Amino acid sequence: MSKPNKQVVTPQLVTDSQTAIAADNLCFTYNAKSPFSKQALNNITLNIKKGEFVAVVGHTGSGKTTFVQHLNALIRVQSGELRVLEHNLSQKKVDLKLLRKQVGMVFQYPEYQLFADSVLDDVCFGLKNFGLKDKAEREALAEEAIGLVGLDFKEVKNKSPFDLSGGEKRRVALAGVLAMKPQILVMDEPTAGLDPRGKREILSLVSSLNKEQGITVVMVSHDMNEVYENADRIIVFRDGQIAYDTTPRDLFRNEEDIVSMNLEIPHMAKFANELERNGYIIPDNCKTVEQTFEAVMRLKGGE
Amino acid sequence: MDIITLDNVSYYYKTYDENNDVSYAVGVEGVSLSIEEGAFVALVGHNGSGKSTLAKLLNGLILPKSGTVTVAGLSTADKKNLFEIRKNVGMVFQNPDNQMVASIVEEDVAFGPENLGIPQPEIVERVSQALEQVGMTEYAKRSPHKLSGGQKQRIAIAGALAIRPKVIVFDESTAMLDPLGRREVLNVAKQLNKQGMTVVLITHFMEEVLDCGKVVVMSGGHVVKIGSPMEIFDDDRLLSSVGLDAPRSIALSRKLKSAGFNVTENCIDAKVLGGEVCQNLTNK
Repeated sequence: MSKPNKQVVTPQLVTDSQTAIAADNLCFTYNAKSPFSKQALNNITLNIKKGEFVAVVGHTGSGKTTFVQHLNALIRVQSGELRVLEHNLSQKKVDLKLLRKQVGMVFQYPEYQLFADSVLDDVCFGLKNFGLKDKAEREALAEEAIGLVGLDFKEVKNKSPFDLSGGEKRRVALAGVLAMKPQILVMDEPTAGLDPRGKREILSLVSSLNKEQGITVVMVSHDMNEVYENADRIIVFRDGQIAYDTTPRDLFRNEEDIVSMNLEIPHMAKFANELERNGYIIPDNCKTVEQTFEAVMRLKGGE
Repeated sequence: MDIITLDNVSYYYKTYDENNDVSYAVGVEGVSLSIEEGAFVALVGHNGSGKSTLAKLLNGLILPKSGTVTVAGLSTADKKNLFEIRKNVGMVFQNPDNQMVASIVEEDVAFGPENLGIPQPEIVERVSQALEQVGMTEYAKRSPHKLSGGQKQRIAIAGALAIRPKVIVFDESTAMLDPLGRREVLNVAKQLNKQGMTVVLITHFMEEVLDCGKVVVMSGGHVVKIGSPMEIFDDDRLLSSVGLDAPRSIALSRKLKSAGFNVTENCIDAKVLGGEVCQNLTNK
């Protein structure tokens, strides 16, 4: 029976104004002290800077969801230390209201959580909950958020969210989170179940939120192709531990190990690896089909 | 022989606007299609293209507003036929958690044949055979709720198999699964097809259609193209107009080919493609 490791000395996490998330020896056990106890996180140590686009991947049951649920204190720290922005989540007292405003959480299939009569009410719900009493102010923030996700505010505001397409519903759900102006956006498989066009729309939206608004993005995903093309950094969970924490290109150079974790190698990474083995270099920042093609054309034209 | 034929089938959904006035939205329109016995057919299209409407028409869950759907010689329009038709066309849906009815795997699989009034000894035999076909025999006495998504879907497939259908329709059965689960379900589908089962696979993962004999592309409720997977991937304009993507490796191989590289057209294995490109670069 495994017990959560009790920390004797609280480690001093070094954080500065540039740190969004810092974890030190974070451990978590489900059903601790029962015969069904299961250690989900085992000594997680990492540091995510503000403005990063980080993908969290791993096989089902690897601990990635347990980890991201710590980030807005849906799961409280059992042992180890966790800081998110100015909050120390290892302490008992946390300003949950402020934390959850700053850390927007988009769950899997967020459109299942839509419930209001109109898109506007749905997007305003969170703001109301967080105590924003001025209706006009709420609606202004909602309008901005709905615009941000690429929907026409005037057209959709009075529509029932249930009359929208799958991709649109998901964007409304996302707008509800964005209306709170989070600094960190945590998303659990934001593109699952969407068709390729819907996927592209959501990913380019998340990318632009990251690049243009500077929002820190932590995205859980099973789709290695999309992770490869979009994230700056990939953290791989395996059996509750961090197996890799590196750039997309470097990660997928470890083909055998990745496959052994039941993850897939992105097509373009597989292609670049094969070229590399033969002495041809595709630059690390060429990750899409288009970029890879152009890199090959440069190789052909060069020398 | 055709096991399923659709002749000029249309279906419309009723919608209500703010004033409660009724209008109709196209589900599918003017669809004619035939599926041969033993075929492996993929139905692809974006969200809202009519794929799932079509699937529901195949076993009479919904009935065409015009045109006819015929399954093994029986029209779905005749209520008397529905029982027989639903025995012939099994369905596996998207969400594994919504398809479990019992608290023990074998009871869940037995639900269908029990409903058909099959005698107990035969149910036992059917259940054990169905579980074997999906590779879940050792889980017979377990609770389905503790299984992985892929395993749950395999149980749902076993439930359909226990009715001994001629056709199984997978309505985006892989959409909510992780890559491992997706492979599990897809392998079972292929295996069943090898044993003679007619399989209709509805998906928007284009990599899943590679092994299909025939791909039906839908858009706006219409069938816009029917062809082999490679014929579909050949049609760049069609793919982009219906919002689908060829798998990345195939997309790259096509670009390279048209830029004068000597590579396999529509190459799905990026490693093989990489090797070929290296040879081209070395011999230039």
